[in-house]
Parts: sequence; C-alpha cells; structure tokens
Amino acid sequence: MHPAQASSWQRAGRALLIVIGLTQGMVSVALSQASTFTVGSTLFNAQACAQERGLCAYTGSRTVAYGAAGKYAVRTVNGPVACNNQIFGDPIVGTYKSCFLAAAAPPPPSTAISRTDAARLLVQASYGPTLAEINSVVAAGSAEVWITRQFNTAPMDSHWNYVMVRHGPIGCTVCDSGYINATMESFWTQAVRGPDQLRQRTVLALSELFVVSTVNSAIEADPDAHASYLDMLSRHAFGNFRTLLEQVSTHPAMGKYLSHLHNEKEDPVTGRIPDENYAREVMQLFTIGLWQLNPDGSRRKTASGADIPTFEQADVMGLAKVFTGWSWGGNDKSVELWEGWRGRPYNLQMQNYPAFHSSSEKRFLGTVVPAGTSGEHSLKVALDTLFNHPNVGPFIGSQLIKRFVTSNPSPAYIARVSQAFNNTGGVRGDMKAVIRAVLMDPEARDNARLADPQWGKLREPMVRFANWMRAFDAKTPARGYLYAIWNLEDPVSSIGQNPMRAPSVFNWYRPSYAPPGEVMRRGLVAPEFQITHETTATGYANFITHTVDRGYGWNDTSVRAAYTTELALAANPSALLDHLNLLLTAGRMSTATRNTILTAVNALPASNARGRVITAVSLVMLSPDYIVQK
Amino acid sequence: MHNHPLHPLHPLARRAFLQRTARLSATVGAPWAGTLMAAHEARAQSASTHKALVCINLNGGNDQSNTVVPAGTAEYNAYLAARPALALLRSQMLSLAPQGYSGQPLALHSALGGLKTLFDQGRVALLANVGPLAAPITKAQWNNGRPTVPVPSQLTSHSDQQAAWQTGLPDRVSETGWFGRIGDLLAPSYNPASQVSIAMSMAGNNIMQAGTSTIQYQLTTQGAVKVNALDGLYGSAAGATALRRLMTDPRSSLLENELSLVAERAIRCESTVSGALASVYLNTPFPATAIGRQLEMVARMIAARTGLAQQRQIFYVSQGGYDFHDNLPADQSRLLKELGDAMAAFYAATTALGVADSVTTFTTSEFGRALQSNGRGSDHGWGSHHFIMGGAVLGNRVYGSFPTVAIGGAEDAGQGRLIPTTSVDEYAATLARWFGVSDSHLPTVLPNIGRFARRNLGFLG
Repeated sequence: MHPAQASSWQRAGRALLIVIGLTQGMVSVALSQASTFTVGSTLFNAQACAQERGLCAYTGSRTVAYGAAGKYAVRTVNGPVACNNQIFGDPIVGTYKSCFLAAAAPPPPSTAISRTDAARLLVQASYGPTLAEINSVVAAGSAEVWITRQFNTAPMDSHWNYVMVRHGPIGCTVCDSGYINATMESFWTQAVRGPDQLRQRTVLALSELFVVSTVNSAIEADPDAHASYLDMLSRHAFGNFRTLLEQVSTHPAMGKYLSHLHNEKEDPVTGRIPDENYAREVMQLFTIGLWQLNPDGSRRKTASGADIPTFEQADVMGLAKVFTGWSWGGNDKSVELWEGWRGRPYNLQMQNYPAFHSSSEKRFLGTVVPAGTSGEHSLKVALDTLFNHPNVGPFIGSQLIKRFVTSNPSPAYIARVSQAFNNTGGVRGDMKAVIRAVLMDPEARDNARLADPQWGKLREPMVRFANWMRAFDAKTPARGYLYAIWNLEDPVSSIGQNPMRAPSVFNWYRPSYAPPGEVMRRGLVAPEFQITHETTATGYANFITHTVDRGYGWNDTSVRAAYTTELALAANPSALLDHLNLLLTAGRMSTATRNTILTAVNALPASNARGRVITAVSLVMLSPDYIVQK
Repeated sequence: MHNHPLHPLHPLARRAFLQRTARLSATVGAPWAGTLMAAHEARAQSASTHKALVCINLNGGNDQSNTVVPAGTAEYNAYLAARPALALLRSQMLSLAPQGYSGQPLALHSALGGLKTLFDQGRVALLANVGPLAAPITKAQWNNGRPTVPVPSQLTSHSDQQAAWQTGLPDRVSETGWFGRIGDLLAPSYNPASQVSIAMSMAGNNIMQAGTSTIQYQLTTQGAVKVNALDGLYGSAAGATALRRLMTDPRSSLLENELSLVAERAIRCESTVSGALASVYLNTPFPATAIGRQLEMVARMIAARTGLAQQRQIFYVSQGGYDFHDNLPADQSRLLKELGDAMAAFYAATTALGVADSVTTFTTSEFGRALQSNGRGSDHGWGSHHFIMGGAVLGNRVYGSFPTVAIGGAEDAGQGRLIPTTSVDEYAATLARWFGVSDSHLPTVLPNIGRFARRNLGFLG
C-alpha cells in the first residue's frame, strides 16, 4: 500500500487503526508490537516519548504524533514539547494519550523530483523557493510527500501572540509593536520564515476568498481582529470546508466587516428588516456564486440555453434572518456583552442572543427553517444547505486553482478538483484533498503545459515581494527577524497591494476578470490584471529596483538582503543566472531573457560584484518570464 | 526628454488612424465606414472645440433616500415613518427651489452644501430615479419580483450592477463600456495625433472605459509615473537597455505579452503626460481627500489638453465606501461632504481654466438602496438619484420623475427598492449627444437605446 493511500484512509475518518510498518522498502501490516507505525505518510517510533501531560524531550524541530488507538494529531514543533491537548488538540476524547516521535530516517523517496520541478512546486505552493526548501522537496522525493509533510507542519507562532501578548517577534528584546502594524509584522514574519509554507499560502488564498479588510471597514484599526481572523484561517485551512465556513461566518472580524455582528431581527413596529449584507455575500462570494454550475465550472443552462441563477432576492431576505442575533462571544448573554460594552473579544467566536434573533420562519434555497428555531440551529441548517449545494466544489475549487496554479484551468481540471471536494474517501469538503487535487493535478505538474502560450498566471504583487525576501533571506540586520512592513498598497512608491487591505469584499480581482484586448477576445481570464495597469506596472519597476538595492523600509528596521550566495557567483555571470533562474523562474527563463540580462551583467566589471548581483536580481524580477508564473 | 505628439500627417499617426478605422469597419461590418469616418474626421479637425466628460462613480451603492429628501410635510412624514432610525432631521436638510418644477418639495442632505450652491446657480441638475433597465417597466410588470418584461440580470449584486451601469448592456455580457465606445467613435476624429488614450482613469481598471480600439490609460493623482531605471539601472546604460527590452518586447506567452503591452503604453505615454503637465499651474485649492485629489488631477489634465493633443477627454474617478449596511448616517454624511466639496472645487477649477462650459461631470453608482432600514443602515436597491454638473448643464432643475418615498409607493419593487423610471441608456445618451456622438451613432454607443422613449433628457439643452 502506498503511503498516500494510508493517508486517504485516515482522512476518511474511519475508526480504524492505520498502522503500517515500512522496513527497508518492504511493506507489511504491523502488529501491535511493531517498532514503528505511520500516520499519513510519516513514520513514527512506536515507543512513546511521553505520556499525556508529560514532556516529550528532544532538541530542534521534530514531527510528533499525539493520540492513541489510531487517532493522532501530528505537528512539527521545536522540542521539548508538552504532551497535552492544549498543544495538539484532542484527537480522541476520553482516551489516555501519548506522544510519539517521528522516526529519524524518512522513508526512501518513491520517485525522484528534479530541482527545477521542486522550484516550480514551491512557486505555486509557497511564498517562493529557497535553496533549503528546494532541497527539502528533493529530499521528500515527490511533490506528494512534500505536500503531506506540509499538512502536518505547525505554524511557528500565532498572530494573536505576536500582536496581543508579546507585542513583537519571538525572542524580541524591545517588544514595542503596536496598532494595526503589528498584525502586518506578524503576517510577513510567518510568510517569509514560517516552516508551514503551504499553510501560509493557503491562508493567503482563503483571505482573498473570505475577505475581511481594513479598507472602508468597521475594523480599520483593530489589529486583534485581523490577527485572530488569520489564526482562524490557519487553524482550519486543512480541515473541513463546512467547519471553515462556520468559523468564518461566526468570526467577529467578519461580523464587523459584513455587519452581521449586532444584526437585529425584524421589527414590524418600526419597519426594521434584517441586514442582508452577510446573507448575500456568503452566497455570492463564499460558497455558491450567482449561477448554477456544472462540476467542470461551466454554467448550467435551461432548455432554451439561459443561465440559471442560484438565488434571488427572496433567498437573501430569508437567509438574512439566520444572521440575526449574533454578537460578541463570552460567558453570558447580557445586553452589555451584546452591545460590546465589555470590550471586543476578537479571539472568541460570536454567539447567538435569542432576544435579538428572528424567530419567524426562514426560507432560502428551497430550505424552510420553521418558526421558533434557535439561532444556533438556524445557522446549522443554513450552512449545511450552502455546504451541500453542488456549486461549492467547482466555485471554490476553480478559485483555488487560480490562486495557486493557473488563470485558465481546463474544465476537466476543475471537475477533478470538484470531485475531490465532493467526495474523497466518503468525506465532502476535505480541504486537504482539495488542495492536494489542485496541486497534484496533471495540469499543475505536467511540464508539457509550459509550452502552452495561454498557460500560467500573473504572480500577485504581494507574493512577488515575499519571493524576494525568501529567495535572498532578507531580514533586518539590526533587529533580527523583525519585518516592519506595514503597508504596500501605494501604487507609486510600493506595489499597489497589501494583505488584508482589499478594496472590498470582492477582493482585488474578480475570478472572471479579463483585461480588454486579446485575453478577453479569446474568452480567457487573468484576474490579477484587474490591478495591473500603467501605474502599477511602473510602480512595481521602481519598487523592485529600489528594494533589491537598498532594502525595504528605513533606518534600523529596513528589511535587506545580504546576497551572500549571489556575491560568490558574481564573477561568473552565467552561473549567477543559472542560480537566479532556479530560485525565481523555476528553471524556465527564456533564452532571449537570459541573454538580455547577461549582456547587462557583463557590461559591469567583475570588480563590481554587488552591481552585477542587484542588476541581475532586478532584471529577473522585472522580466515577464518571472512575473507570469508558469 | 519629451516625445512631442505626432503631427497628424506623420506616418505613424496616419498608420494609427488607418488601424483604428480598419478595426472600426471590421466591427460594424461596412467596407465604406473608413471613408465616412475619414470625411468626418476632416470636418471635425477644422471645427471642433474641446469637451470633457467626467464620471464620478460612488462605489458601493449610494443611499438615494438620504441624499435627496422629500421636504413637504406629508411626504417627509412618510419618509420618516419608513426609516425612523435613519431619516435626516429637518435641520440636516437644505431646501431646493428648482425651476419649472411642480412636484413635491425637495431638499438635499446638508453635507452637500457645496453642490447646493451650484444647484441654485443653475450649474447642477438632479436626475431622479435612474438605473439600469433592459426595457421600460412598470410596477405592475415588475409583478412582485416575477417580472413580465426583461430586467437586468442579478439585480442587487454589486459587481453585476456596476457592469450594467458601465456597459449599458444589463441583460448580456459585454466586453466594452459606453465610455469606451464613445472613445472608439470620437478619438480618431478629435484626438488623431494624441499619444494618450481619450479614456483616462484615476480609479483603476474599469469596464466603462473599455472600447474596441480605445484602451484606457491610468494615471495617479500626481500624474504619470516614470520608470526611473530607464535613465540608467544603478547607473548603467546597458542595464537600462536590458530593462526596456524586458519590459516592452513582444512575447509569445499571452499573459506575458499583455504585461508588455501595459508597460510599453506606460513608458510611451509618461513622457507625453509629464511634459504636458509640466506647464500647467492650477491655483484652485482642492480638498485633501481621495476624491479631491483625483478631481484635481482631472482638472490638470484638462488644462494640459493642448500638450496632450486632445480635443475630447473622458475621465473616470471614484469614491469608495458607499455600501451603507451599517453606520449609514455618519458614514454617508462624511462621504457626501467629501464628494460635494470636491465637486465644488472642481467646478471652480474649470471656471478658472475657462473651460466650465466644455466640461460636464456626472455621478454613477451601481444601485440605490432600500428605503426600509435594517436598524443601522440600508440594503441593496435599484434606482437612485444622480447629479450632473457643468457650465453647459441646465441646472437648478429636476429631471426624470421623483419617486414616492414610502413603502408601497408607486415605484416600490419591495422594501422601498426603486423601480427606475429613467434608464441608464437615456442618461448616457444625453451625455453622449452633447459630447459629439451623432444621432445615427447613438445605437453604436448604446445598443439598447431604441427600447426607450427618450434620447435626450434635456439637462444639456
């Protein structure tokens, strides 16, 4: 049995002990006395390193399984680690658990993966290749194994701790970060340095799907709102979509942003009706979209060939009643808490206040919630209805493909991702299965696609900046790993885009956006072109040439690259270009681009090593070969 | 280092003109269209004067019920009863006295003081209850949401209704907008030598300015931005040469080539725009708001029209934050004040530049909002009220039909969402005709105009 099959069994959630011994390539079903066992594709020592509530002692980063009887929570953390539910969650309630260390030697790779293919995977699935991460993909042996390991890698920190507890980075000596900027510092710290790169990129994709923003917003100046929201996305990125949807819908940051926090039931006396904001957007943008879809993403048609709307205004009004009576979480349901007079606990999910919840009948999408149903149960019915709508797989799946891989996936590719959403091992909405389907699809991995002139996507500007920081280990020389990157959205002096600052709940770009011209004429889309125009193209060029040379920011908090590896290659421009081709363009720089850059680099004397390096880095990052990810 | 605009007889300008007319004739499918346009162009060049259209889009869907308020006792009381938590107090209303108007007394939100002064002076007109329509429709035909005549698809969706307003084609997908189609028709005649598109945006890419040959040009509130390294990449001319090639050379990959086209346009236009703006001095103070800064740059680009070789200019600016589900009273007061003050400054600037009569400014927004309140705000609606400003405007007047502001009123589609009584097509046609689109070309700009009774609402004479 291939490890991937074991993990899919485990994903199916069966109460079955999946124990496989792998010894020197031989596979055998392990007995209870076996020296090792696997969870997913990771091999663990069968001898526990600690019992529940004990301390599992080791140094450095190791992968640890916590649980019993075939149910394990797996995290990759620095040792020593406390063996308890607070650290790992509770994989098997009511059973005494233990911690198990991953076996020192990973299973031998099943297939080899080239360094350029590893880099290509990292362009899609991380904030950008580093030499170390390329090595780790190659060591994993396949994209599949790397992805599985990433699923089991824990975040380095919570944004909440950075922003609310510590007011600064881990180990900081001058912990003075405050206001909304602290959330951005934490965001970039994890984006650039987090070992959980796939989770980080998934959180970015989810933050562009379930948008909350500090622009034109009731949470403009609440760093805790955004920190908690990002942590929530991170916790549920690899869980089930149904849970993620509920967590998004009841998170107070979303409640404030789309105004269903404090939304009151209808009142016939004053003529007040429930706020329709969240009810509309949870359908239009977060789950089912506006038009009924086939599994391959195409629109369903009536017999006469017309598109079929998924909902109408009456559904919005019916669903709006479900989102009444929700406000701040806490230990009681007092008016003070409802009103927010005891502060704004952004780290607690919203709760329902029966006095403010509509008790009338609620009708939406063919579902009827009878009069007198509680807020909690109404929400359950509503989210079950949305979750089980056949549109969700293609609607969400196609958007994830566009965030990670390509702007114009084939219908068959979308259909395969829909299928993964609809049913993987009997489970609907398994996000790991969806993300695996997006990244492991033949279209995503097949290098033959690179020759297709319509293939690829524009890299998002904020991802390009992260690419540079990761590729060249940019950091703040005087302050260690402080990333004081507060706002990148000015299109003239910066890149016209900042995480958590989309202009509206519609994100920076609609999935269906096509720039007028050849792309539109061919019936294709290129979402990121919605923010690509004369100003941002120029602004990006100026930002890159400045930042590559002098770093981002000012004085002792500027983020700079030392280019240690690159300076060592400066005497050999061809080798320098090979190196940058791997790191930035995944080995796919065209010969013409390479020759153009080589000419410019060779024009500088070898004695000007730094000039050669920054010239090469800037030109690669400004080449269309790089900006359009293949 | 400035590129001077090409003379109309310059081979490149001639070639551009031929390409444009070739595309146009391909579009309309008439082999003689190029000849006709050439004749038209010759006339236009000798006789034309400058005109500019400025669209201010209020992103999010402005709440019309608190923008223009019925001021008569009975009508005000009905308005108050429909939205007690949101209604303006009488002290927050500025009474209007429109000329030739016999309908219910009206008042403006007091935050629009700047606009009120211009209204009284006859420089601002009000167009009541306008919105996207696929065909004229009555309340009976709306039939409680089961309409018996075609209606725009996806009413109350932000993205769809913005597209409906801007394409003028609310019941089908369109690749162009009505500003873009106006540009396709008029740019060859009026701006034959201009390096810069007739359609200029300070507010990002929009479908409104997308045409067949018209490609919108973006600039910032500080003007055009230069790629600094083209003067030398870290001091190296070879680096600059490489950069220019990488940014602008044609590419076989579709998306790479699209990127190169954008960069080529940016670099080519920057020197023209910067050069034309260099000699422009604007003394009129503008508010330091996002919308104020955008309109200030519009005024500067109008002042620079000769250097830009533009006798027709189409501008798109926007102001965000109008999606008032929550905190409506405070948020709308703030935004309308920013809007009114910026518009008043802009009008003053056009007066100072001596172009007030040739610049017409108007507002759009994806939809109006429900009259009924959700307690703290209002929800997505349909028809709304809009303003037209300029020296050519027959102002201090109300155009269209002011609706009954009450739940269950004659235009109520439900919860006080207004069924529009004037279509976007009629609004746009009135602007397009003034701008120079001939009556026979109106259906090219507004393909659905034939479905509606009026091609001229009269606010521009």
